[in-house]
Amino acid sequence: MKADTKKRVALTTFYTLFVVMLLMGTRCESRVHLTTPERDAKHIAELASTIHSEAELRAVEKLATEYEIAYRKSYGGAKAIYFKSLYEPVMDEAGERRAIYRAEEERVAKLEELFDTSLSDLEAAWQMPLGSESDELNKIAANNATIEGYRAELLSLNAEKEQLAMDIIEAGYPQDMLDKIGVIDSEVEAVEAKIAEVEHTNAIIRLSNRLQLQRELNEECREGGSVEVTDATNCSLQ
Amino acid sequence: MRRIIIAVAAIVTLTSCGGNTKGDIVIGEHNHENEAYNLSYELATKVVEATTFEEFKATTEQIKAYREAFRDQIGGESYAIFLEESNLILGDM
Repeated sequence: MKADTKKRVALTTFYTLFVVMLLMGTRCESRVHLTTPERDAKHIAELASTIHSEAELRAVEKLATEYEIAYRKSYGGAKAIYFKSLYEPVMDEAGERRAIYRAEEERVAKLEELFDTSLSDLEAAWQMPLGSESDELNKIAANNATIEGYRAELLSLNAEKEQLAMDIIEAGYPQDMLDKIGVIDSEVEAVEAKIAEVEHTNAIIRLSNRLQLQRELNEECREGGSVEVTDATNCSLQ
Repeated sequence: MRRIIIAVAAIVTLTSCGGNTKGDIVIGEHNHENEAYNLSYELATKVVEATTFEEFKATTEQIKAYREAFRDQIGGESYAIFLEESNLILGDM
C-alpha cells in the first residue's frame, strides 16, 4: 500500500513537472513576455518611434507579430485581435515614415552619383589632349557619324525583332525562336551602350573645350588689368 | 622597461589625438545649412575655375573632403543641400 502511494506521488509529480515544462517551453518559443495588451502595444509603439531603416522596421514588425501570436496562444483570438488593433496604426505610421526616409535616401544617392560623375567628367576633360578648334569639331563630327551608324544598326535590329515577334506568334512560340529574341535584345543593349559611350566622349570633348575657353578668358581678365576688370563674374563664361 | 612603456603610451596617445587632415574639417552644429550653401558654392566654383590641373586636383580633393565631413558629421538635409548646390555648379560646365 505504501509503495503504491509512493508510486502515485511520483507519477503525479512527474506529470505536473511535464505540464509545467510544456507551458514554459511555449513561453520560451514565443520569446516575448506578455503583460497587458495596452502595455505591450505601448512597448511596440516606443520601438516603432525610433525606426529609421528597413531592417529596424522589419525587426519591430516581427516582434509585434510574435506578441500577437503569443496572445493568440495564451488568451485566444479576441485578445490577439484587440492587441493588433492597438499596435497596427503605429506600425502603419512607421511604415509611411520609412517610405519617406527611403525616398530621401534614393534622392541623396542620385545626388551623390551626379556629384561623382561631374567630378570624374571634369577630370577626364582636364586630361584630354586638346587640338585646334577645327580638330575638335572634326572629332565631334566623326563621333556623330559613328553614332548615326549605330542608330541605323539599332533600327535594323528593332525591325528584325519586330518581324521575328510576328513569326513567333505564327509558329506557336517555339523555344529556338524565343531564344533568338533574347539574342537580339542583348545586341540592342550592346549597341545602345556603344552610343552612350560615344555621346559621353563628345560631352567630354565639349567640356574640355569649355574649360580651355574658361582658362583663356581668365587669363585675359588677369592681363586686362585690375582697373577695367575688377568683378570676377565679368570674366566667367555665360 | 617602465620608461619604454611610458614612451610607447605617450606616442600612442599623441597619435590617437593627432587626427588627420579630413578630421580637421569641423562643420558648425548650429549653422550647417548656411554652411552647406556657402561652402558648396565656394568649393565648386574653385573646382570649375581652376587654372591648372594641379589646382583642379587640389580643389577636387578639398570639395570631396567637405562632402565627407557633411555626410559623416551632419547628414540629412544639409548634406543633400551641399551635394545639390555643388552639382548645380559642377554640372553647369
